[in-house]
Amino acid sequence: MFNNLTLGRSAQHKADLPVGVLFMVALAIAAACLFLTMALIDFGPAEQPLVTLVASHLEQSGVENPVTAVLLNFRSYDTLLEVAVLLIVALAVMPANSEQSKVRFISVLVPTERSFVLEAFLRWLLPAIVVTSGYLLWTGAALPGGAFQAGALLAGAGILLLLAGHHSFNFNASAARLLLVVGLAVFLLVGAAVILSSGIALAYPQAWAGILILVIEVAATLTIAAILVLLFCALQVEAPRANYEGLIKEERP
Amino acid sequence: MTQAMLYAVFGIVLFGVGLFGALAIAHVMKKLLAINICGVGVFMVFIANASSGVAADYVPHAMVLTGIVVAVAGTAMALSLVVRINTLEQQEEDA
Repeated sequence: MFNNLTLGRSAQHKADLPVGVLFMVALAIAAACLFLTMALIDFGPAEQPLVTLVASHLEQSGVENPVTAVLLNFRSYDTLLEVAVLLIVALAVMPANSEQSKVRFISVLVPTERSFVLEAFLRWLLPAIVVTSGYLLWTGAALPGGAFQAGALLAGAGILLLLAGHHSFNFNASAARLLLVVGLAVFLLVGAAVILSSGIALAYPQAWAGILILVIEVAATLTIAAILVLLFCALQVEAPRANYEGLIKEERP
Repeated sequence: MTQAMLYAVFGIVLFGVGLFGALAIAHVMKKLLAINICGVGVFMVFIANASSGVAADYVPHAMVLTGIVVAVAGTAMALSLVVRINTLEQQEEDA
């Protein structure tokens, strides 16, 4: 990804700190770490009133997995802001180009070099990844899993597709823009809509909590996957080249 | 010393290593990696402390999960700045 980037040219001109200063910095950090360790040992095993608090309210949350309950119900503001942070970063790194908004989200390329093994492998792998991602999303209600894990897995599928060289993504397409915002939009809509029933933002009514959390998580999964793939695309300095193809070619007569 | 405590102490060590790297290394890319190591150290202390009771505390788990995603976003942001700095420097050298 960063092969072609001669990173930190300034770093080559600008020498590292002198050894004396480095030594002082190391000493100060070592002292700080020692102090932190002492504090940690002195602190002892922490009391955890939140464990019982979460456990006693788990029934109201609409899900059985306490971590998901904390993420999407008890402390859903955190997660809402997290999705917002992701969107802000996506906007910051996105190569905004309104002229490209008419180009389709996924366009099929004709690769100059083909790898049949990779193609066949991806044909098996990509559906499996999508299904696994859906499973992770669904199982997040009761077991470890959820929107972030599912989104990350889906993003992996997207990046694999990109690296295979047959497809390119255009995040200025309206479909892509929709994907980038749908997570935050649905989260905000649900959060605002529940004011009608409970009077408090993001406080889901108990009977609806499970389904509302699932709706938010589905939208968040799509957005997280789209944003992660966007980050990968945007930070690509040049299009990936399949070097292994070149190697194979040289052996041919 | 319990197992959780051991993890916490190593988290502090990772934090120290990362902090030293972030302060001492001039190379921007390595500096960014060092900041990431620093962050992982913080997560590790947090998670290790959550398990020191009878049952693991779910709230730090959820917060670290949130933190990981925010760290990824922050790293991406920093990387795009690194790429931009590099482009500008190359232009400057060419000129």
